[in-house]
Amino acid sequence: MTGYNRYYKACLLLLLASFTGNVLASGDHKQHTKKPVSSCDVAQAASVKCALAPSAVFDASGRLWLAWAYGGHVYVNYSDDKGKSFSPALAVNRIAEEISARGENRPKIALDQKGAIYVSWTMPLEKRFTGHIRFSYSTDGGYHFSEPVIVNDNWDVTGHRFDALGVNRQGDVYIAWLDKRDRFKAAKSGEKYHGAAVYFSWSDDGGKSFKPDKKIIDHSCECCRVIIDFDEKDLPVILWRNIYGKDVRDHAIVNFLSKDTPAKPQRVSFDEWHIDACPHHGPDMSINDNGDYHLVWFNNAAARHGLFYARHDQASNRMIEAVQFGDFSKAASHATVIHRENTVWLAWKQFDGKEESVWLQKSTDNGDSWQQAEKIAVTAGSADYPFLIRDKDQVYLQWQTEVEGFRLISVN
Amino acid sequence: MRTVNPYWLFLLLMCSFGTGAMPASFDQGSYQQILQQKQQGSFIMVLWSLDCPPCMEELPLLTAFHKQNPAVDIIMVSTDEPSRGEEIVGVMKQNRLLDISHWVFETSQEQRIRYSIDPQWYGELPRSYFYLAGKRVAAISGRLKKTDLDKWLEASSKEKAKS
Repeated sequence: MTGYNRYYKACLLLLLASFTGNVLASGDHKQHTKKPVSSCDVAQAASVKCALAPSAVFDASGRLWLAWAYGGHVYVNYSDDKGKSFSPALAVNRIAEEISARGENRPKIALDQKGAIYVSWTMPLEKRFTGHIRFSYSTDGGYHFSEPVIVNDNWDVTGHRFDALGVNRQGDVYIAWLDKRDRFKAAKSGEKYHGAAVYFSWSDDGGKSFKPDKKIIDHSCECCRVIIDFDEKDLPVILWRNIYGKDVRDHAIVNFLSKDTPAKPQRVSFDEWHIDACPHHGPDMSINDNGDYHLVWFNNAAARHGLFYARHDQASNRMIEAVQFGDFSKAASHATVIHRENTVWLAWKQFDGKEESVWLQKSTDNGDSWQQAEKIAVTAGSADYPFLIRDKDQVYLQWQTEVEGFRLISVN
Repeated sequence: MRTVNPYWLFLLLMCSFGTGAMPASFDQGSYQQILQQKQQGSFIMVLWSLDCPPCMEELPLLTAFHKQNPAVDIIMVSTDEPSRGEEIVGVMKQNRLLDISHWVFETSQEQRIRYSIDPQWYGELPRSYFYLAGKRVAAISGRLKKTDLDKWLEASSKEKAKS
């Protein structure tokens, strides 16, 4: 505990003792109470119910794997009954550390076709907006995890955060993230650097080692999630919110020419949201076997605002014009997209002033037309982002809520 | 008669000299509570976060504005977890803004709080609301400019002159 903290806490204690029943904060404020984001008390044993911002994925046998953070550990566990019960949780990092796990940030989990389990997360450092990308893997079905490593090969005390993790069919492990090493360098020489950069690294030996980091682009937005998927050639495609010009925050995508070589990034949204702010609202993507990219994002420009869906059509090599979905007046947000052959599902959150809900919209013609949106889940308390995940042909909504805990809802 | 330990007296004295209280908990009823308290008043409410670089870059502007216009009613609301209260106080202190009203989101109600303030606010930060005579006159997403504050200040002065 720092001297300042000791002093400060002593002040608080004294004030409490002196003015029992009175308010603590300035003016007319009420007393601040510490409460974790989940509905659990910090003294409780780790369980999925207490999970902060979980990620989930099915393996080839239909087993559901989860990664989530609690009490300074990333935990992994699984369910063989579609989320009704879970195996005991195993701590990936034996020594507790800071873990980013809220909203845009969460531990990620991916599996290769041999069943190896890969986990990544962001470990924030003491200085604000700084962090490192952490990684661990298991080749024995989750009984043991490797000692976590820092993936980014630049160890400046600056931002390496907002990791995205993906494993392709060949078992290559890709991690992309938002990186401020160039901004850090620019600041040292008194220069200004707008936003962050997108970097990636990859491993062709099952995560035992990673290739040197490579930059994809300068001047990305700083605090929206990054997304990775793989195209029909099994090469990565990365999607993120970028900064165009002085302050336009639209989206960019990059495909790869080879395993190690990103192509030139392309702009994919043109909503012209002029904003010098953190939207905290990243996109999502699902790529079909033909190489079509199904994309969703949020923007809030005066002229074009809300959630948008667009498809990059591989055959014609062009973007199909973006369509808006969700009820903007009901806080439609944090959309997720998934496909199965020509069927595409979109899900997103809404709030009507009383309850949080997840809405679903489906297309059976590869995103050319859409059925009516339907409400598929509600909760009375607070809720995490929704995610669509797939177990072979079956699509599920994964949704962590304060009241119900981890939920897995069939949406076919 | 009980004697008072001089250490505690010293501490109490130090506490009263602006170490700053913990931010108050901002829940889904707080916004209406603030509006009721302000009644027909003019004020600025700035929502920000420790995890938002543009918010940090905005703070020096607010510091300068507050120094030049100490009578202007500013409310700072952090959208961070309540457990980061000490960090919030540290940032306020560093930016010499401890003497203004500061709050922190009860994050378990995040969506509800946002909705209670403005259903059209999607959580982008910083987000600032300007009020004149109890009425919201502007909502700005993104880092404030000096001209935003000056414009409101001029309107506020005119409003005051009218009353």
